[in-house]
Amino acid sequence: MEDPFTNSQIDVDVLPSLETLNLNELHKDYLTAKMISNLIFWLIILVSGGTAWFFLVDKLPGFLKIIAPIIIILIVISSFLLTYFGFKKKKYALREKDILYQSGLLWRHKTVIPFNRIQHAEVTQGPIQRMFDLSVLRIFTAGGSSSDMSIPGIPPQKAHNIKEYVLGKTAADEEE
Amino acid sequence: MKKNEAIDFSIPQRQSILAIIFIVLKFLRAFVGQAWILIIPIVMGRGSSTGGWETWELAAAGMGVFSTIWSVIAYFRYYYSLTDTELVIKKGILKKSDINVPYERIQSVNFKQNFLHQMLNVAEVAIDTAGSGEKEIQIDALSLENAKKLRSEILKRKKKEVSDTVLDGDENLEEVENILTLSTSDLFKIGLTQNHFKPVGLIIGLIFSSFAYSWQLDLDPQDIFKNIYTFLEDRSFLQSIIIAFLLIVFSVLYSIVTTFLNHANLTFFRNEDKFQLNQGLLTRKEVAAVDKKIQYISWGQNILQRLLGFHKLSFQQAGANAVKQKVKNNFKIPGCTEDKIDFVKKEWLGKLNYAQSFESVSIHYFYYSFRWIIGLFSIAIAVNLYFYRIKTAIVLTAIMIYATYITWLSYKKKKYSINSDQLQISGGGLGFSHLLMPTFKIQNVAMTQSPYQWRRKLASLRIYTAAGSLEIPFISEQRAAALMDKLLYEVERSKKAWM
Repeated sequence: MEDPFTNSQIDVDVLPSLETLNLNELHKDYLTAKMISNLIFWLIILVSGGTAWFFLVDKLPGFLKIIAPIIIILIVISSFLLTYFGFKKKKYALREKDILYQSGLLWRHKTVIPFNRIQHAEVTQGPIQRMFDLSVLRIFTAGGSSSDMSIPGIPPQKAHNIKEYVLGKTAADEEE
Repeated sequence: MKKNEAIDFSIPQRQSILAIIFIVLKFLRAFVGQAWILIIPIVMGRGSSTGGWETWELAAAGMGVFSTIWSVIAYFRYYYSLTDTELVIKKGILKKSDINVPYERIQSVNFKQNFLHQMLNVAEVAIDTAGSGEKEIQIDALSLENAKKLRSEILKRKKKEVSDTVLDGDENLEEVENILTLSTSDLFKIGLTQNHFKPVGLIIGLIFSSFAYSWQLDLDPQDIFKNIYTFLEDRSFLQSIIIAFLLIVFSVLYSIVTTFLNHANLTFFRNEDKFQLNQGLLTRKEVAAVDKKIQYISWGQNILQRLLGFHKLSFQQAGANAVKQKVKNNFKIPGCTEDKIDFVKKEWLGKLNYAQSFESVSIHYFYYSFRWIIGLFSIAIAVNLYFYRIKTAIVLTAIMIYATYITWLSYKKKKYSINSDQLQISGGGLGFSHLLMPTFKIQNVAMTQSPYQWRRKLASLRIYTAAGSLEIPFISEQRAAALMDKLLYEVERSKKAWM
């Protein structure tokens, strides 16, 4: 903190902009993997819900018998639609000094983590992702769990490469 | 200090023998905290069945003996010592543990004294480390004299370590500069201008928790509710005024008493690279905030405090604990005037290019909440009118107008300013709040858009720090993107350590 204090003016228009960035899409297989895990989730819910339904159906008022299944089917369909269109919104980009990830169809979210603020990074793999040879790149800062970034649907080799690159940059920054 | 003989801290030292008392208390408190669900029915059942008495008594006695023995062993197994490079603590009965803390990682040494500590002239010593996830290191009780010696010894060694690496000549010059002390009349004013809704909430909470326990007393919660309702309904106008008056008197008294308990003998001072705060009547607390650990400062006032020109200043410090618990966030100083805050700013950040102009947020910040208020309240009012409950409908309308007014005020007061050095956000409903942070302490930045926002080309900017996140809500998409670029540029080019 003993550096001489400088405060030169910066032309705001020449700052590197996130808007013009070429964003990378996630691997196509990630959509399939996501659909399968979605399917498994709903199968479990529907089987257990169906069993309960079988025992309770006589006690329910008439209108519920018709409306409840319709609502449930609509929820299931919309969850698959959200997964499909949400997939297209998930994108990431690597810059010289930071990494960006954006997601969200309805509630949109775009996070950028500067390399000189990264605490650590890891590559993880769930069972379904493993079937498709995909992994999740997770990046942690000191900003608390809600600020951490996890980019899914990247092939393990690529994820490791990005991780090494990112951590290399972080280390280089600390040495300065 | 009379006895000024130095203690050789390189030899492992035990705590004050009185520490046993505090270990027993801690043990019992932990036990009760864990097992209160078991204890309550036993204590409650005591009255009804005569058979339960003896078992209960026996269990309590057994518990007491066991915890005393345990604490005595724990006391004799606990050693602390100072080596050349680190603080060492050896402890544990079944699970032995050695804790080594290098001096450079020690941020501050804090004392805490509750009433019992003060009576016995001992202090609990808490050692605050730089780690974000680690637990604080705590020594249950040292005689006040030894605690002070330990602190000065640790700080001396820490400084030596630092000056060895930096090769800085002068050391041991403790520059203490007083910032704020509160007189009795100040305390009285602070108590008077507290948020008095808090004690009223306490009363309501008490009533509701008595509902929760009513099942144990064989009472129907509905009956109690009905009783209170009819009691309130039957009061005459004069009587309700008296009740309201008593409630207000209780609230004000409560606020004043708690203010004296918490903030009596308050001294807030600058000590080299940290701010220190000592306060408390029965429980004496000493806490410190080191410059680099402070991530942002905030200050605010309600309308009453505005009349007096008092702010409550608080330091938000880094640490994983800060997010989960409020432990680290207890660094709050009431009764700060504008000039004290300016002094703190200058001491903490030095010469900064403070922004002069503030920007407003979009009017949709108001509309968005306004839609909800109008929507929900009009449904409730319509339902009440349908059933001819005119009184309730009038009250609801009044609340709706008030809520709208507050929302309007918070829109008008929400302002932000960002330049290359710093970031400021101000806001508040009836009151006022401000916060300030230097841009180099930002961790990362995010832009979020709800459907309402992106349909109107708006966005919220979320700024993450090591002490929690800040939000600039409802600004134009373009502006949010530009601010994001700017903040990232500042963070990425900064060579200053955020901690």
